[in-house]
Amino acid sequence: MWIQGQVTDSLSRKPLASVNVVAYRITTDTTILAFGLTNHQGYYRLYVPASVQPLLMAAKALGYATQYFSLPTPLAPAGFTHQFALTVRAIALNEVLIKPVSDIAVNRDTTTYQAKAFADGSERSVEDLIRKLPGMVVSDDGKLTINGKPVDKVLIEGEELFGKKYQLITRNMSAGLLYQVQAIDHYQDNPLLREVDGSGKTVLNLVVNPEARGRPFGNVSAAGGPQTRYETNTALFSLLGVVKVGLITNANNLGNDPIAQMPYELESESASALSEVERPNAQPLLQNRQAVVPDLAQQRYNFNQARLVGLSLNIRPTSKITTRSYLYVTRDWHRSGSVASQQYILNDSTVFVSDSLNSAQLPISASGQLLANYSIDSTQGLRLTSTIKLYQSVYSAHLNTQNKILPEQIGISGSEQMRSGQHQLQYTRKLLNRQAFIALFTYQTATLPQTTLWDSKRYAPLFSQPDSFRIANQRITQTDQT
Amino acid sequence: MSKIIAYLSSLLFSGALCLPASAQSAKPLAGVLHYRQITGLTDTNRRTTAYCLLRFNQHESVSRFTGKFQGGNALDSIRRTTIPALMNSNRYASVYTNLKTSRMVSRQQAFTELVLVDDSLQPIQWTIHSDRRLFNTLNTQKATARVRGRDYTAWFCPDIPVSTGPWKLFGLPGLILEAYDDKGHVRFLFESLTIPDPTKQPIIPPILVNKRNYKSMNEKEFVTKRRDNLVNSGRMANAEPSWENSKTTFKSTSIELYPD
Repeated sequence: MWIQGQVTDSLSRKPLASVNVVAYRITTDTTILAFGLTNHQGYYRLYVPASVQPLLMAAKALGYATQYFSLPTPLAPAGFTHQFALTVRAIALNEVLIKPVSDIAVNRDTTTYQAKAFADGSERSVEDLIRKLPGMVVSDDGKLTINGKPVDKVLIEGEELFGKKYQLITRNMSAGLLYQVQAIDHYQDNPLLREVDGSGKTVLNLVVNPEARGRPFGNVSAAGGPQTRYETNTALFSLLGVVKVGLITNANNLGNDPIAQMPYELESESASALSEVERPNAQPLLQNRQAVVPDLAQQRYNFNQARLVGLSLNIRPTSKITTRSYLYVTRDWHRSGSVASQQYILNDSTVFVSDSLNSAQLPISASGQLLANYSIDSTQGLRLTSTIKLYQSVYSAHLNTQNKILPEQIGISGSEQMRSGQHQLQYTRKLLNRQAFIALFTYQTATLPQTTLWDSKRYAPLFSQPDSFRIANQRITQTDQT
Repeated sequence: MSKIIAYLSSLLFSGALCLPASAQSAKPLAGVLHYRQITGLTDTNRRTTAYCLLRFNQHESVSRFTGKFQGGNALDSIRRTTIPALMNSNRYASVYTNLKTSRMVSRQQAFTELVLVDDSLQPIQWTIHSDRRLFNTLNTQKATARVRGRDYTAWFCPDIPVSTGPWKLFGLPGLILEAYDDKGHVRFLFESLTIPDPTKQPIIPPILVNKRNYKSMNEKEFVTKRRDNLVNSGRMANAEPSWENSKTTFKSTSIELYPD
């Protein structure tokens, strides 16, 4: 549907060129639907979908008062014509000078963003704010990149907490605590290698508000809503003295993944077209649920109950010894059920088919790391890094089909586990001419046992003898261990 | 001071910042946007910052370099030792946009020589998003588009209804205050905005100084000329190689990405 017309000066009646004409959709927030400029004769022409109504039109030009016009509803499919006559507002000329606080400062390897300059009040977590910083991209699993380079770690006031699992911080720490975000290129956390190797890694350093410094700080929040929806969140930090602590918890049933850890089997609305191959972590579904689901979390069906507890402890007992450790446990319990009824009209009868499907999945993930640094002297040091990871998922699904001709029941249940550990001992000796000698010993373990159990009574009524029935039904147990 | 700025900006938001009718008809209201043009962000050794300004009115705008320039560590050493004319190309870059006549004139570097490119405006297919951001008291909205080989995010101010912006960015329902590409190679950062333009300088297309008989070219001819100059420079450099079996290749980096 075309909306067109002319924009003129109300006094001189002369057409106005290069005037901005904008069509807004009137909803809770006015969304720009279409826009364009008037040509040298003052004419404009905008195309808007006929289904989107009501509409608000605006003509804007520098030096003129903006003029708005609400289009009548319903609009004829042929379109609508409206003429704007803009009025020059005679007021005293004043100089308008807008200067921001230096939003972004670049100093060699460090780019500093002023948090308040990029916040509009809608941000809840640090991740929400980081999304708005120029050059920074947040992927669906919470991984950060800046100017195309992956972010290796996120520090708080220069302190490394939770290692590379920085989603614990970015998804649970409140954006309101932030004063600055610093992107640091060529970061090297081993002091012996700082002059030797630029390392090329990029880290973010979160600088908290001045009033939060010199004391423990953090955020605690709890929220509830209709249909027993809830979310509680805690992020507490104490960076004082020789013991530095970070504690993070989260519990919700809103479909929010507090750590981007779980390989969610539950589908998003947009991902429903993906095949099993494209969703490698997905368990086989017994049938596609064709239900329309609310997009509350914009990601998944929100049948989840997520829990997360994470603790980080950095201790520096002497000037030669530094230890960093963290441990987190998270689990997310998904339960869902759906019922579908279909009626088949045959020549001489009617058949009702009723399907009920119940499924559940309980993934649990835990990870911990201990890092100990011992500085032998100013040129050599030892570093021990020990990391363990555990992932376990138990799932089940039952389909019960009721009809007169061929009732059937199918069940599937199974579990999978992943246990892995990596232990490294590193000796570093700084040499002359910006060189270093490094000896690294690594020990790794990994096991992945899996079990799948199918229980089917499909086609049972077709067999009169119990023996043949047993043959027709199969029970498969598959266990893989590597 | 902040109260004064807030008051004045509120006048701007309400659309009340205008000239009397007589003044308006005599000369259109103009403004000036100061911004930083940062390139090479992914490499701190080659990162350069050029301080630029954009003079604009309802129909036309011109952006140019102000004279202030900060180079990366490597660039400083290269500039001292190699071809100064090449390294200083930013100093002469200028882009003039006329929305009324749908024309864009830009002074650009065709590797070894400055040329004037005069062509019609190529519309930019912007997608407007709901994200908003505050620049001091100016409310802006996010838009994205692919422009001249890069994917840009731009923040435009609907309360300043001019469809122009830094460099060759234009076509949004409001002045573009800030823009950056997704790879982090180019960034146009907002510095300040002044309306009306206190200098009252005219908005005119760039020219080539000391070249009276120059002939301007269109975009297609410029791309060809730039590529030819690159190839010819390579041939000249390799005609008498410094070392046996050595080969010198030339590469030119620019905000706009051109086909090889």
